Amino acid sequence: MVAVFGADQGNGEAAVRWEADDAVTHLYQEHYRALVRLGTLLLRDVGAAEEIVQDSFVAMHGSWGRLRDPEKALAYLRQCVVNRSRSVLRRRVVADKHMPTPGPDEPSAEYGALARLDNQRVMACLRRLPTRQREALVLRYYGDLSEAAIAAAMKVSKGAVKSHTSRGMAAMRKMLEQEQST
Amino acid sequence: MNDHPQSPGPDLEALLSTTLRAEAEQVETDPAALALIRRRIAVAKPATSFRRGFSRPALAGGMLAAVVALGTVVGINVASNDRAQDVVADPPATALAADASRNAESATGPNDTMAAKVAPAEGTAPMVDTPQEAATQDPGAMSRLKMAPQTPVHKIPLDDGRSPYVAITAPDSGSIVEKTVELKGLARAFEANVIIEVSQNGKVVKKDFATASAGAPDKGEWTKTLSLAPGDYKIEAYEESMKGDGTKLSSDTIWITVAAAPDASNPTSEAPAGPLAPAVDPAATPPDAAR
Repeated sequence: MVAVFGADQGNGEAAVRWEADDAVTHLYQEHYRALVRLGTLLLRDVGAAEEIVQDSFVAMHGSWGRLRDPEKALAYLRQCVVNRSRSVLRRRVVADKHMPTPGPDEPSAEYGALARLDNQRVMACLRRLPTRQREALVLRYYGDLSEAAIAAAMKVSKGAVKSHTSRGMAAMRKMLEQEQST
Repeated sequence: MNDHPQSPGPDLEALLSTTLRAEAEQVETDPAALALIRRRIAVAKPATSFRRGFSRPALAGGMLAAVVALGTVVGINVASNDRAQDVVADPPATALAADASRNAESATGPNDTMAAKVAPAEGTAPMVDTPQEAATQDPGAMSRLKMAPQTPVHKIPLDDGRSPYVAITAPDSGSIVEKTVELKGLARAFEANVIIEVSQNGKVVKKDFATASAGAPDKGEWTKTLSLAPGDYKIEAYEESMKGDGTKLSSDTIWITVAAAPDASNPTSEAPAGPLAPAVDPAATPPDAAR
């Protein structure tokens, strides 16, 4: 009787799980790298970003029964990544106060010196932005997302996305100008 | 602001876009990540399966049965304690109670059936100490399940055929065994490695490992012979996560009582050594009457 019950439960579970497993495989193949990159841009730490994205996939698998749609699942994953990145940054604040964080990974030598300098300057400015503004800019200019999608990922309103984006851009412009004038 | 000759101006958007892309291009991901995610999903599964509607009543029923069994067992233990002066009161209660909760889901009978099953079994603990009983008793019978000897109610974890899996198939939880315990089990573990942890009163007294006949993704059988001093033990077999953080991927636990050798725990007894007294491991001899 025990064995029968076990087999029954196994089959019933398997039917549900296969779908969720498939979803994980497909979304992984298509979006895993982009999500890790998104996390890295927000966190400047590849290891932490990978962990966050993996966590998000596990969470997505758990709530697949509710999502059941690749589009929704991707939005869910993005939201998870943004959300968890925030948590990591929040935790990091204390550590940052006591010890300088290591710089970003050295860019590869393939990039021209000038471009590299530009990139570094821009990234440095981006890092000095407040978290929300940075998120809005990264999601828009790296993720190419619509305002609605950014709003969903950041769990804020569309209007807030607009203001975060424009303020972020203004701040970046100001920083870059200041740098150039010195 | 934008009319500043050197300002990044309106093409800041383009600059930001190319910068972010270039920065992102440099990020390479771990190729083994999918396997890692799968593994973690497999670990997370047992927790999610409880959320399924149909298992909830079963769980509640099991808990109720466990509570009832616990009450019954404790009552019987108190009653039988004056008969069995040389048996420490607490350990059998913990071993039995723990076993009762483990087997409670299959215990469908009413309370008094349960009590009837438990009562004679409980009696065997003191009876073994009398020489006549020890002589006449089949040594094999000692390792039988204490509760419900006619139907094997020992529940080992369910296996879905894919996830990490470790189970102890023998001896049964709650049984009284001799000092030399032969553990048998099944495992689907990475590199067939199963870790066995023996603890007493919450302290790990022995940690060992066994190697299954096959490693993941195949299920293999494993055996391990342990030599334990008399007393109550919790034995847990599990697969440890390769992350090295001590996470147990899959585990199974049994509670057993190692029968006291008549001449070791009860000096006044004149029972023949017989099959009950294999060599005692002196290192693993914690004082039995610690509490």
